[in-house]
Amino acid sequence: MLLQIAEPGSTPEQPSERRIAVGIDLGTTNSLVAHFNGHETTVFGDAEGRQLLPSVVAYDSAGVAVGYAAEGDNAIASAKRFMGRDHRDVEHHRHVSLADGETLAFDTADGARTPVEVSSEILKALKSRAESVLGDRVEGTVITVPAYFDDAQRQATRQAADLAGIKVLRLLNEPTAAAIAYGLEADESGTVAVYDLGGGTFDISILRMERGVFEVLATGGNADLGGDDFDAVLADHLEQRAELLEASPTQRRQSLAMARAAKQALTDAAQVEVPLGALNAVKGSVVITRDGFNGLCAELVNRTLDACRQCVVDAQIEAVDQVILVGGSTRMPIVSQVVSAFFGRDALCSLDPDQVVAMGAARQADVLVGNRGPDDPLLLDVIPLSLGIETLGGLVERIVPRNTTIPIVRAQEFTTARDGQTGLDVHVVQGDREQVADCRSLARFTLTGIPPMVAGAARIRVTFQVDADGLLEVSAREETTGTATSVVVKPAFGLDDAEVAAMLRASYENAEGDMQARQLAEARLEAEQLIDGIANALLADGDLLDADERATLDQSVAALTSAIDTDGLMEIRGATEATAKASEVFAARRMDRSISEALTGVSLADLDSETSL
Amino acid sequence: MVEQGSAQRPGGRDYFSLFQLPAQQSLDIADLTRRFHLLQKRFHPDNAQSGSAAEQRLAAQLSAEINTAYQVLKDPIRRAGYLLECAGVELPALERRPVDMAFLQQQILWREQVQEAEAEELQALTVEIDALLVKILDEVSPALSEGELDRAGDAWLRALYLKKLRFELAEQLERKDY
Repeated sequence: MLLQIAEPGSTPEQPSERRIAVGIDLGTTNSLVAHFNGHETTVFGDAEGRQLLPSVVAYDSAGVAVGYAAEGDNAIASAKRFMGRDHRDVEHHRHVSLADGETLAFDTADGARTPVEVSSEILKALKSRAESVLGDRVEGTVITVPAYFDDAQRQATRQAADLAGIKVLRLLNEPTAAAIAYGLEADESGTVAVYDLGGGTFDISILRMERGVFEVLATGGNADLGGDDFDAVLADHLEQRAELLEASPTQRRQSLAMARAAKQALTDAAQVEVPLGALNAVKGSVVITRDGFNGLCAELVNRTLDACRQCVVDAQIEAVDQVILVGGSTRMPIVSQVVSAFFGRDALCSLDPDQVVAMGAARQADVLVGNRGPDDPLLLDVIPLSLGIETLGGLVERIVPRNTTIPIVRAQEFTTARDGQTGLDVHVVQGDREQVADCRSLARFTLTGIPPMVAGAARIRVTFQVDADGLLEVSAREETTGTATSVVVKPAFGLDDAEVAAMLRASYENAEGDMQARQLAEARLEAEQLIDGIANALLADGDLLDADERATLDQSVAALTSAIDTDGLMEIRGATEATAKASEVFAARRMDRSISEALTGVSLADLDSETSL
Repeated sequence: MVEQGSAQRPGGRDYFSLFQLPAQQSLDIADLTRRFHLLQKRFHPDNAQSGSAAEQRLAAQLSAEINTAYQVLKDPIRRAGYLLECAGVELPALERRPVDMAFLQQQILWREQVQEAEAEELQALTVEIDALLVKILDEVSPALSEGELDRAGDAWLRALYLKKLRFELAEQLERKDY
């Protein structure tokens, strides 16, 4: 168990080649995968060179289709809206057909499919895109999520990645990714507004950066407002000009397609001529000017500005230093004009707004996989919503307040309310409202076996651990007896680990040999990394061990080295575990030493290391 | 107290020695923040991504501790409270202790002033309270080193009252702005 310790300014002892990682933007309408090779970022396309993968999946008895191949009446679109949600959350999405049952799932020709499964198909398609270029050398992936995603939605995204066989380095907030793509993290400090208008959703986020620390100050938006609404407004106008009173479904599809084409043409052209023949044979064509189009869209654009205004108020700031445009719909000139005017700053739009999030994710993936350079900043994320538990009267006791830098461990003591109470229900919630009913329920578990005592005598310590991805684990312990229980918070209506494992097995059924070979390769890699790590650590800090300790560790490493040469998965895993255990003391001592090293060079005026408390 | 250099689990270290700072109330926030960034650059889980699961857990544990330590130390009142806790004072019990009458009366006067004052006076009062807060908290360290736990605790308690007053001042000022 050795920490890989590198000077912040130096790259660790590099294996001969650069480690490879990719970034994925798992979007509501479109998804992308990108790779940063140290010099430039590439967004991977399909065989036809199309870089966007529509986030659409279709199932039938023959199999699964993803992206363009899936588009059609039976396809599942916008699965992201359903991630980590339950039936109550999605009542207004009447257009999807949901399967019966407790777990929220889509009804498909091939049975019920959960949003997690649907998303995993999109991730698999992106993964194979990346692998077709990079081969099997991809060691890790950064996946972006909206800044407002709560724990359940983040957990669901993680599960989708697990199911797709993707090793997630980090879930990264989409606006943070956009800021990284523009290199804004290099700035000492400042605030950034990220305006993200996609196909069907609008998000506005305001971030504050301070020396590599990204803090999400506020988020807002409208989950039902996007480029599709602009198409619809223009399509209505075209139908009106064609004197088409009631469009048939086919005509509506045609007018929407015409509107979309006209909208895109108006990005560069001042006006565009649209033939109306397809809608009404006796009509000629109509000229749409950019001004005319802008007039039609004014109401929609203003609605986004209302959300921006609220976001600025929530962020409690006067002005922002930078504005970034994200999402294909920000290509409309009216959008960038109005947004720039609103914030009083020229909006950054030099990068492709469809790709900017994936590009930022790719850059961060490159850093996280181990290619950290001297100037790469550290991103310290914060949790977007407070975490707490339910107390008497349906009130929330906040344990980790919103905007706390993660990872974090927080504990709080509670007691029993009734005489002789032997169990305690722990209800974990996320949100910033006082009432439990207004917050999202994340998990419930019961601590049992509390010895009967008078009310108020038991001391129950509830500990919240939030990791660097914002994922939560909660444990409860009765202090006088040591009775303990813990739970990794799962989406309340998501899959449990056994279900994920079963699905993974099923997906490997046809590739049993592959799976074994892959597990063996992974175990070998981990063992080799451990041996290298120990060797490097001994070289640097061998003096921390006495002769006996050194001999024990050497022995353990030798055993691991010979285990690697066998083809036994269990042998390699066992020896790896034993060696990790044998190096624990060494690792802890090195950690102490490296704390001192990390702080050398800081002015140590008044430093008195003998000070005791 | 944790011995330097020993193989302690991360939870066993005190916040000041984690940052290699003397355990005292007076502290340069810019220096603390610099140390915080240096430590996180080394121990944040992002830097252990390529390690084993166990290594990542160890790093996450230490990183979480660094975050907590920073949050406690950067806030003057929490810092003072932490010094008291390290000296064995139970803060919840201390919070229930009464403060002396003169201080309480001064509080009441200030509160009345806050309700009635104009923006300019409020600003002046804010400056006054802030200065007083620093002065009161500066008593904590000397009192502790002289073994006077009561005097140190009293300073912390008065600081809590001033913080509440300071909060009301800020709210009142905000209202005047509109």
